[in-house]
Amino acid sequence: MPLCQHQASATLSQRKAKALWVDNPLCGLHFHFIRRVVQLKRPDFISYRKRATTFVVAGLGAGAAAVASFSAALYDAAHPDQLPVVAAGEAVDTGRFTVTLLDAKFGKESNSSSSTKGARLAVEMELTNRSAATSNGYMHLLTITNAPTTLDPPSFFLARDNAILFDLHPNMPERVIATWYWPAQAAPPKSVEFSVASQIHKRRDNLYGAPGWFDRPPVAKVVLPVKTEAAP
Amino acid sequence: MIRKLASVLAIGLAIIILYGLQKTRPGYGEITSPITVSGKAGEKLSARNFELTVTNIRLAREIRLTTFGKDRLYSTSGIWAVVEAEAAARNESITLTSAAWLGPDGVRYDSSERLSNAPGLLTVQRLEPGLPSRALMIFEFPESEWPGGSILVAPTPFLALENEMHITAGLPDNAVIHPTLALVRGASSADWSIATE
Repeated sequence: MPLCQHQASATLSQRKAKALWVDNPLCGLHFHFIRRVVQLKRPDFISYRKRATTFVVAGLGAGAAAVASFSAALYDAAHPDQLPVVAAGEAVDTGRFTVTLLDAKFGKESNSSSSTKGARLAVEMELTNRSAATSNGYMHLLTITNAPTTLDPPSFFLARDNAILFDLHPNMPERVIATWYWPAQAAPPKSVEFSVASQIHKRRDNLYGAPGWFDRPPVAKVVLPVKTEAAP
Repeated sequence: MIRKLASVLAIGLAIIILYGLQKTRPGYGEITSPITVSGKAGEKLSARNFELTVTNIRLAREIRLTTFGKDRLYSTSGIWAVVEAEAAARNESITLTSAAWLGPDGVRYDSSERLSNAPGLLTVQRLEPGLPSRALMIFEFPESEWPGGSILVAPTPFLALENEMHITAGLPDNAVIHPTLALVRGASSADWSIATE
């Protein structure tokens, strides 16, 4: 005779089923069957144990995932990717724009109307808007990484007109001069080091599902020698 | 067993349906995009808050403009389109701050800000109801973009569900690209004439 008569118990009355539960409380199959027939009032220790096990296993899993991702982030922060170094005159594809840094001059700018004590760093580049719409998103592409102090954002001039540049139209490469104001107390640069930021286009962003351009980490490093011009 | 299988199947089906919906339904950008009012150059078009007629479209390689007594020649790596129009508000005063040239492939060239001192620019002019005034739009785009191009005009570039006019330029195949167009200032700040050189 089998230990559990769960097949026979299909026809048991509730009272008998209860009795069976008392007789044979540890039979799993039987236990599940009875539980469907009789609402147990007494504490369900086996179920608690199972739940506890589930909780612990799930907790361990989640903990392991958190530890893994945190340590991966730590590792990445400790070992940053070496940005590819791009030579002057070589085009860098930043996603939305192509930028080619050409040369850097340091001194008093002839087109500067201000008579401030500081000098200016003028960087000539070629910019092409690769997107499908007119944009002024080129303004945040370049960051000087070896600046002696925090620099103000540069002003951009269109070389063609020597006028302030606003927007760049798609597929129309333009010579552009970016001008950084260099504080008077800071040492003049021998060379400047740029990190070139990038952007990608998403047809649907993660929040609204709207199309847009989103910042991505820098894609390149460019080092330009600086030609120092005597003050006029 | 069958119930488990059924629920797995149901979840799979739900995933497929949701994926299909996500891929085929219009996105946020499309459902909030401007409402188009289409027409052709030369026609008087009416949007909810403004009306506009494109009266003339000229293409040029250079534009000459005298600003503050200085004569300047504006060059471009592409070509210029100088568009003259007549515009008025309908219900209340309005400024149409967004004008763009839409190329045949859907590339959008906003009106140029390089000639921001030009007289009568549409994007800075305040239009009054019932008082049509002349307005000028200046675009800069690669030479390949003029055939099949159209002009987009809207009160703002960003406002969702606002009217946007979509005016087919309809330039003839043998449209002339002038070497230089001179924008000559007229008696008032919103008056001008165009001379070919």
